[in-house]
Amino acid sequence: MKNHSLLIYCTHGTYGRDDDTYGALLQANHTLAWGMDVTLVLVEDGVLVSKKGQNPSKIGLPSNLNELTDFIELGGKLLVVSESLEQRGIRKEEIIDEAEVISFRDIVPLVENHDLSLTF
Amino acid sequence: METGDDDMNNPDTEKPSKVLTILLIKGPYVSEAADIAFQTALKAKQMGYIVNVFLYLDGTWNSHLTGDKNYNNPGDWLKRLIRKEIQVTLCERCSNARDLTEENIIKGVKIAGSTKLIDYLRDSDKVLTFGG
Repeated sequence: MKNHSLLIYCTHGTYGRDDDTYGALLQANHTLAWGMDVTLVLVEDGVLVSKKGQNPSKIGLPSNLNELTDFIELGGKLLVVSESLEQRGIRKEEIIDEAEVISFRDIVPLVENHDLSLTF
Repeated sequence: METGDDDMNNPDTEKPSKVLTILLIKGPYVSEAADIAFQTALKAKQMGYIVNVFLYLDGTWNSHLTGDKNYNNPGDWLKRLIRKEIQVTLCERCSNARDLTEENIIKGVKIAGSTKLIDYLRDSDKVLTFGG
């Protein structure tokens, strides 16, 4: 095995391109389950995925919060970009407790510390 | 990018092959992602890479372009990939969601679980995402 760690950027929210977000989270969880380290970065509209209490099942969309919970329980690292939160008026208290808030400038070292990255 | 069939038989290098995996998550005609992904795959093959293409989410729709068209057709690029023995795989779950089966997709494209992508990721030297 050449690669051990994967960085996934999630750039879309729960709505509109829900399949992309759901697919990103499924892939993240499967990859964790198969023994690779996975870090998930929610950035741009992706930060909306981390909002507490959302229930998109009311409009027939999958619950990404369940997938995020699975991700954390499987040992994944969840990061949310502060600038993207601020641009959308979302406070830290409104996102799930397990998320760590980082700055854009923290992304470069993250890239250096992972073998691969995927963008959804 | 020159990617005609005739160009694919003379790899630029005799070095041991590196592995490139291309992840495509956009369907045809919504953007240039599919066209660029497939042309990149062909060019990489020409350069001596072992190339894997994984069609994920709406990227799976590209495999459904089985017919001829008198305009740009990403399905034609996909057929070229198959002819060049590039492994092209569809995500099984995404395919099921879109009613894509081995009967209604381009011949030679395989359907497999997402663990196939993990295998690709583990063993690749380079990974490119198109459509993210």
